[in-house]
Amino acid sequence: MNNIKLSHMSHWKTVPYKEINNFREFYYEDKSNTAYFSDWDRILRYHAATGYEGIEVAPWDVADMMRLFGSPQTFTAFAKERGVAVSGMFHGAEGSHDKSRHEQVLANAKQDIDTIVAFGGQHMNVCPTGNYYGIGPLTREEVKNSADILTEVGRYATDKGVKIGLHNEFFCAINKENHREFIELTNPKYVHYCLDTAQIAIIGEDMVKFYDDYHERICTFHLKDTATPKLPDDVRYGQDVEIQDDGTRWFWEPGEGVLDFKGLWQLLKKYRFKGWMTIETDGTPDLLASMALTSYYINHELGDIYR
Amino acid sequence: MTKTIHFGLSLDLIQLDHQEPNRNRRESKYFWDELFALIPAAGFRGIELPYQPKWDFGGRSGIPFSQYAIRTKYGSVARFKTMLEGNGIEKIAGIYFNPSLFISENQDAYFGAFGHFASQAVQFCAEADAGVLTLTPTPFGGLVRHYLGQNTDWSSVKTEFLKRTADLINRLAEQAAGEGVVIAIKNEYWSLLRETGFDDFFKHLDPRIRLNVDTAHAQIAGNDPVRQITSAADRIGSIHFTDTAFVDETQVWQEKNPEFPATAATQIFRDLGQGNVDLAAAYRALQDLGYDGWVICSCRQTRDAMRAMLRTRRTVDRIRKGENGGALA
Repeated sequence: MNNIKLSHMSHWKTVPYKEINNFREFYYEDKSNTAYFSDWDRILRYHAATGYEGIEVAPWDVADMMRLFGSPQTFTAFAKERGVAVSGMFHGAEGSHDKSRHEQVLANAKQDIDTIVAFGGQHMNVCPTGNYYGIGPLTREEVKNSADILTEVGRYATDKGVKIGLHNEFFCAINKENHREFIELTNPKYVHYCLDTAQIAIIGEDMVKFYDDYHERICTFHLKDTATPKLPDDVRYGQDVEIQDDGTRWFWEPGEGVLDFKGLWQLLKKYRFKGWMTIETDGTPDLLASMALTSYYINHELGDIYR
Repeated sequence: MTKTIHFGLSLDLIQLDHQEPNRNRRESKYFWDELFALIPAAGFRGIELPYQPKWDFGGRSGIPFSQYAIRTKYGSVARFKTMLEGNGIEKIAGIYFNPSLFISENQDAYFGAFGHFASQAVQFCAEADAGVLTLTPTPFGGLVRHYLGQNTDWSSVKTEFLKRTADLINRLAEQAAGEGVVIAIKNEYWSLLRETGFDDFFKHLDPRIRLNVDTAHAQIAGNDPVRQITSAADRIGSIHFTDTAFVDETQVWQEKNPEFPATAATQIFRDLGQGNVDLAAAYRALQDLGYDGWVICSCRQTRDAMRAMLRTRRTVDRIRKGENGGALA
């Protein structure tokens, strides 16, 4: 049994069907590949086929999923029949830097934690607050506000058996100048860290060193590569920078960018990492190809180091 | 003076809601920059924009479907229009708004968001000099029932829901009149109004409200599109030419998501010319009425936007040449 269990962050957008039973007939209507990307049955089977035992749910998809499945438990049972478990869900703690919004921030987080419990998940990976553009730079008090409420969120999550993992975004108001301070201000007993390898490198950290420094806090990963580490401040702090006007991609499949995954894997081995590792392939033109490409890289290029 | 019917293209043919290879490029501005050059190359000088604030929430301002997105990427609606004109798109011929995104168990939140963003869409429509805002009045009837009709007196909930809807639309009509915009209500085969009667609902609306005729919706609901055009006559505010081969034999319209029938997957809306709606007859009916506005061609469920654009052009050319209706494939 492997120490690392692969999950995949769901970026499938709205999946319109639960299960297509008239697959051939549907295909022949316009002879396009739409039939291949339109139901959860096949999407979950792609996960299992390409080596992913888990799926990380996107919170913006939950309402549509519930229309199809009725409850998180029903989705989980459906996924389990296809060899896939829910590893967790992403969450955005928008407004956490603002004390006056803490009641709502906590209520929203509790609702998502309860949803994760219902899915049978273990992780809630949390973007700490809003984007730098619009609310940055944060004062030290605002950084502390965010850390305080996320500790409260972590306390609730821990009681429910869920680990919250702080998840850096390169365009988030928690950024290069306050990122490590922010982590230190949270209570390590309740607040963990989800290392998004590309985002942390784009912020300007050395991804491998960061893992070495914080391995005790890091409970899971969003694993992806980048070809553009250490982006300048004026790019990271711009408006709506995640999607570039000219189609420049920030994120690539591991092995297709410049990050030192072999170095990371040596540390995973050293610290005996055990648990879910979510692969995230946002920005790809082909989710299925990226899933397969990443899975191959991990098994064939990194697997000899640690698995 | 000869009256001319202008054919425009709805940008709902750019599918954004579902995953498929190469979908990612549609979030970046460069995709749209090229698209705006290709639309006139396919012979369309007018477009309809779906107003979709959904993409603002995730910072997807490359998708030019809201006031926020257009101001972010082009500076102003006026500059956006200048860019379009530079490419040969002479007219934003309509805006379409659908509030279904906001439906949930919380009616107050739904009507709050509906009112806020529809009002924004009216403003945008005025700024763009688009003339008409076509509005979906209710989400899928089955979806409204799913969220609001459980363990309750559905009949009274429905009545209250429709009253609030009519009140909201009437407030929008007031705003729209002040800004030189016409609101046209869309009669959809899956609407909650199908349960209660569209015409009855329409009687409760401000007399300035007009009708949208959508040919595929009409046909699926069992209404002859030609008859719908003829009977709407001077109340027509906007026209959508849509195509379908779908026959609703199992009351799909009552489902939570009738655009994607649960029991048998199908493409409800075909590219123009690929279904069996008699679009040529609909065109003749509009000519007979002396209609001289825009007809917006919509391929909202296309599998290939560029192919749909050319299929639509071919269909329009055939209709104009007086070729017979029926399937035009």
